[in-house]
Amino acid sequence: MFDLLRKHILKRIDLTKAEFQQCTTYFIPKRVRKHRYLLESGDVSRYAAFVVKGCLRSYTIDQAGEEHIAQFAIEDWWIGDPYSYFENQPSVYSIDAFEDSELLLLDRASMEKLCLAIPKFERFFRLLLQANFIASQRRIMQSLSATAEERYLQFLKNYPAIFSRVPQKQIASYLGITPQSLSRIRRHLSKHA
Amino acid sequence: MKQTVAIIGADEPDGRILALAFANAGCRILLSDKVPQRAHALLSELRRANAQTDAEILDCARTSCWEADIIIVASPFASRDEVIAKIREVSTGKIVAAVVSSSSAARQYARSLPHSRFVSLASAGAGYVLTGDDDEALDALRRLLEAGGADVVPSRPSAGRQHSSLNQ
Repeated sequence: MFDLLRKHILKRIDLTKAEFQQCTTYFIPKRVRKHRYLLESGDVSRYAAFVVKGCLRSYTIDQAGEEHIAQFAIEDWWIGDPYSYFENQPSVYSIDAFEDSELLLLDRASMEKLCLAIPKFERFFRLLLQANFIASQRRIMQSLSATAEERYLQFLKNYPAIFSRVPQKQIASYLGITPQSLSRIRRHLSKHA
Repeated sequence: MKQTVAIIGADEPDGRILALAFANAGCRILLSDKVPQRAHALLSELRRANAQTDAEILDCARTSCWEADIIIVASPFASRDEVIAKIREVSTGKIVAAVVSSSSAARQYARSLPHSRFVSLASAGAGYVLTGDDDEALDALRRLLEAGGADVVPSRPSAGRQHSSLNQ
């Protein structure tokens, strides 16, 4: 259950076996079945979720009932709503599972306790937040300045593993285009490949 | 969001009472029993009480506890070791409430699940005395059970306010 988390942490900081054993006691094992929610909009995002197995998405729904996908998460990724999590405010996002998923959840209090118990985790979480900040900046820049085709190509490059696991309609929503536009882009690219 | 509650020992009298209370409180209920067929009568009863009840039977106690936010152990104390072996790995950080008849039984559960937020449930007339060190867990359970129509009395072992049925 904890093998992937162990590898994930050791890529960023060194931990002894005893420290890792101690760290596992702060994580809540949680199974979320396909189509079930981890977070519903309007609730506070109480957990940062590390994905051990499965595939999830976070999204908002606008007034016209359209879904807008903010993030996908597969194995070795984290998902949550950082604003809601750190500010203890209701989230505008919902998070649900595309596949039966196995998660390790970390609530705010446990994150603080973990950092106090093993101060190396301060660095671990700083590195995670740094990566999250950079990814968010890139996504904003792409939304503002890249064409739909460029965004699609970047998505393929950055997230090849997700592409085969998520319906095209969901990918279109993530890219901010209609499914029809995505089909056109794919046809265009395959003709010029 | 709707809380998911796993009931282990769904065929026991306390399992039935607690399942009905949590279902009344709007929780999603996962029932498991050593003999899964025995949980079917309770599932039917939950659905008769409220057709909208989100409840199902899972064959495996470990799987239901893995999926749950709150775990209720209503099975007999004699099966404690077997139950603990199944749920220990998936109950870290979760509220685990066990129906007990003595403070010694409560201590044994608490010792076996050191990383869970343990609460003991002792029958007291028509309701339950809730005892535990984790105030948040006690409060969360109390609120849910009261919302489901159960009588509850929260208590803390260190405050010396245990219900008499918990004292050996």
